[in-house]
Amino acid sequence: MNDSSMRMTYLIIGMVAMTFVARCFFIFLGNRIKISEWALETIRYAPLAALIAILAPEIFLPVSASSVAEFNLRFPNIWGGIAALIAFYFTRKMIPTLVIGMGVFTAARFLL
Amino acid sequence: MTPAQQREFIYGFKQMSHSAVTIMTWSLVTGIAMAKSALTIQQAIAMSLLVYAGSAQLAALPLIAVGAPIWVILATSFMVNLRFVIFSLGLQAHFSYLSTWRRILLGYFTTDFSYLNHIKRYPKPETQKELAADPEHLRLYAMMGFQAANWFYWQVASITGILLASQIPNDWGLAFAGAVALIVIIGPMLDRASARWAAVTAGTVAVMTYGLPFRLNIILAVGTAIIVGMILDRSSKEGAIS
Repeated sequence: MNDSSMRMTYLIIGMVAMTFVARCFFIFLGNRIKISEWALETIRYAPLAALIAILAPEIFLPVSASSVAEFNLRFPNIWGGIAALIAFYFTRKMIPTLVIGMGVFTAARFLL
Repeated sequence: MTPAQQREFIYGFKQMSHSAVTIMTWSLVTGIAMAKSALTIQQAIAMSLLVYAGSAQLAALPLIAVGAPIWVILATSFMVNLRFVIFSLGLQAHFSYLSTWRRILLGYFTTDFSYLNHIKRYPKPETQKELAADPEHLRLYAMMGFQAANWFYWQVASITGILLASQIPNDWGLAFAGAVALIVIIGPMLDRASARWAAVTAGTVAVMTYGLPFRLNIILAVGTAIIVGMILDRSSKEGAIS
């Protein structure tokens, strides 16, 4: 193996370790810590917030953006995103949401 | 597996299949991005199968491209994965009766979607009494069904993306389709005011702090949303009493 593929092998092994460390963090600690009902109650919105935190920048910021300063209304994702939200609100279904969201997104890309 | 365990596993698999379109759009996008990066096809497939953390993989690609030091890329992976640290707290509480190895395996396969499905179905861990009445550990098998389906759909589309990347043009807006498909998963979770406020908070914080290194915006958004959800739930409970 050459240097660059060695480096990539180490990197992949390292990233696998990061997956384990993060997803098993409190599992490694095991029963040494007692998890209170209060703690479980507070993290109830964690999965929702995590998905939103991944989603929101995809809709409101350009792919290459490095900060919120790059927000502008000529960005087609915003209009496609709003259309998809409205479509979902009324239909609650995947296909119409995708079709309407992508349709408005595509139209906005050509018009704006 | 006993018939009851099998039934729960199949239930979990089918339930996760409702999210298949969303999972597959995201993993297709991730696969294409990996194939178009500096990674070879073999490296991309290995990363997909072993790392199995799409957001960390996507965050690593631009760093690999500029030749960032390995420790920077690993630190970024961990930061992007921080939300899983929070999920692992819930997992530990729910499956503390399992042996360490089984819990570690369960933890490794727990993604956003499988944790979400499990917590939606079972907001609270089993009590001692419920656990005694459930010697077959049916909740575990439903969870394994979620995880198996999630892994399967993710890998199929991810590897498809890696292999077919050169045939898929950039201007299809696939990444945006992934975002739209995620709306359909998030929508039903906004069923009460405190959840909606937590969501608005998370979205605002994630966008405003997008410029932070290590994708720290994700964990900041999760942290503030948790606090907002807590405050609102508390005030609504007090409101109900008075």
